[in-house]
Amino acid sequence: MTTQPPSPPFAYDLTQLPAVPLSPPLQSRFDLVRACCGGARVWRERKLAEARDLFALEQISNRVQLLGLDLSGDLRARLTMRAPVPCLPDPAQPLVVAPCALLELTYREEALYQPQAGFSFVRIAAPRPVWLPNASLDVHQVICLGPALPASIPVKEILLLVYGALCLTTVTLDPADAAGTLNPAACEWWMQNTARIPLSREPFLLPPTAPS
Amino acid sequence: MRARPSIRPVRGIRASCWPVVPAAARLPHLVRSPLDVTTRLAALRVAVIGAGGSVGQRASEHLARLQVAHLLLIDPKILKRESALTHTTGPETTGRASAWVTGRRCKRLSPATAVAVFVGPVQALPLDALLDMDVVVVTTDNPAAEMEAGQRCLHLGLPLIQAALQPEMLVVQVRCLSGRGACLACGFGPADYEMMRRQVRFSCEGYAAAGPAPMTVTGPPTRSFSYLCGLAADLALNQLLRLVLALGRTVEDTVLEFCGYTNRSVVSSLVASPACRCDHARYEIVRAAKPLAASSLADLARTVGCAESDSPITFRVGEHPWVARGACACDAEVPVERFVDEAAARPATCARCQSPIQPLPFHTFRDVPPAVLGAAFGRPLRRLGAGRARFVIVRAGDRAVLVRDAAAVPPAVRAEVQSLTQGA
Repeated sequence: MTTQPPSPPFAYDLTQLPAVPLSPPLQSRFDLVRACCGGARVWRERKLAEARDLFALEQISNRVQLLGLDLSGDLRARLTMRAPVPCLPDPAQPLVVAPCALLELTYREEALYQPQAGFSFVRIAAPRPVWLPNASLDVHQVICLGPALPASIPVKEILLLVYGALCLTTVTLDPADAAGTLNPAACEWWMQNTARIPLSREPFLLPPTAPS
Repeated sequence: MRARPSIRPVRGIRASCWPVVPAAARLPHLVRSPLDVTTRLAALRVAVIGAGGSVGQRASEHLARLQVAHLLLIDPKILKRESALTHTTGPETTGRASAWVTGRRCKRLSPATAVAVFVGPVQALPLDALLDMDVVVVTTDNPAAEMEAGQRCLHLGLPLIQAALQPEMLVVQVRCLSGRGACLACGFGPADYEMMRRQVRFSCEGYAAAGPAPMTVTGPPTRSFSYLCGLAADLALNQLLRLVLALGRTVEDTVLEFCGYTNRSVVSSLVASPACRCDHARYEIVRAAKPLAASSLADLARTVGCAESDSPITFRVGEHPWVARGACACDAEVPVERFVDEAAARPATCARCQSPIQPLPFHTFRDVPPAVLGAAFGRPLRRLGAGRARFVIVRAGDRAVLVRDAAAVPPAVRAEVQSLTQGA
């Protein structure tokens, strides 16, 4: 009897999202979104490619779920991401780690050809209040992903950066560092609690869960 | 929300200095030139982007000496001590806004020219500021501004002259774009995009803004010879004159390159790149039949023939983004559902907590589709907070129509009128 070589855990990686065949429900959702895609030709094509990547990511990642997608003007996506989200409703109380985040992503047309600020893409709509050095502690709760993100950065890379920021695998703890600290108090707190960093070492792509 | 820089007129000089010698007194009799050279030059309206730089300053002064009708000078920078090494101004102007310094010099050279100044990046310039220009001259040394300027000129169908330097090789390049073909970004490669990424910086204070975050360009200082900057300005003006007076073979969509090491010049054609990331759509420009404030977006869509379009429609209402939802101190999210002037302080205050309602960027639309507007689609703009909008861009697929207000005067011209009124 010969032993089978272990099969790779994932059929696709993040570089192969355009090759992922979408399941019929996702394909029909994508078709609906495609019909409402507006703007100039270059911008429409890019939005459709990004939208398809997002649906493919939902299908293979087991981490991202797309709740809404609007391509009429800017690309706007509302999605949930399974990731530990540190929250500190009361500084006197222990840290609360929520299991997922509701994200609002806006990708403007300018991002195609000009670098954009690291805070200009993603807002954490829930939970609140997120206790991260690079998430603002106000009504906006934007997350800063660096001093400037390159022009034409793919949406999947933005989501990877968000995941890294939520898990604190990429973190800036220097309050004086201009590269993305929006909550100095959280910087101080995490500097005193470095043993808790990172919150997770899981890879971004999760293996599919067995059906219950 | 942040305050935007505005276009301001340069005030006239004392009446005792008026009028100066007319430009015609020194104009050469050009071979095969049109008969009305003086008239054409006197009617010319030119915008100079990067007007405070070592090239832009000279180009602006050349234009002032031609006594053109209007000069709009755009530059965000402040003059440094080192600027005296490359600019026409001396060290006494250190610390002043370079656009204002150039503007005052131009006004002194040609009091009859309406000179307006915009101290800010071209990205912050109102979209309609270039509407009534004849030519745009770009002399900046940062790719982000070049890209923005090129794209705006393509949208408006404006010819663009760009002067650029490669001082290490003693090379001067002058691009002349017709406004119908290539843009300045068509020739960009990965190195240009990487340079752009390294040069731009953003302030963290901009994250609550409704529009794109304001950027600061922190490129390396100009390292060039004064004469090379002058040569670039001179060649750019020569191309501009050839373009507007139709002298010699057409210079449209060409690049002229002069190399100081070999003293040779080469002219090549410029072709639009199919891989260019920029939007090359040219706007159809129409005047609204009635004031925009009294028009609804549904009216405008019908007027420009986009109401029955198969492609999704979006509307950009001047500098007024549509804010669907905002946030205040008492509640995470509250409906706003109004157009908001980007230059205004706050859209509204919460009736319950009296704190200002801040627009949420995810719920703020510069290009807004009818579905988001809901019932507001059929209401006049004045009832939706956009009564002062000067233009609306209606977009349906590849077609884009810029509808100007029936009575709106573009900011540059308004500045000109103010200038004349103050002079009088």
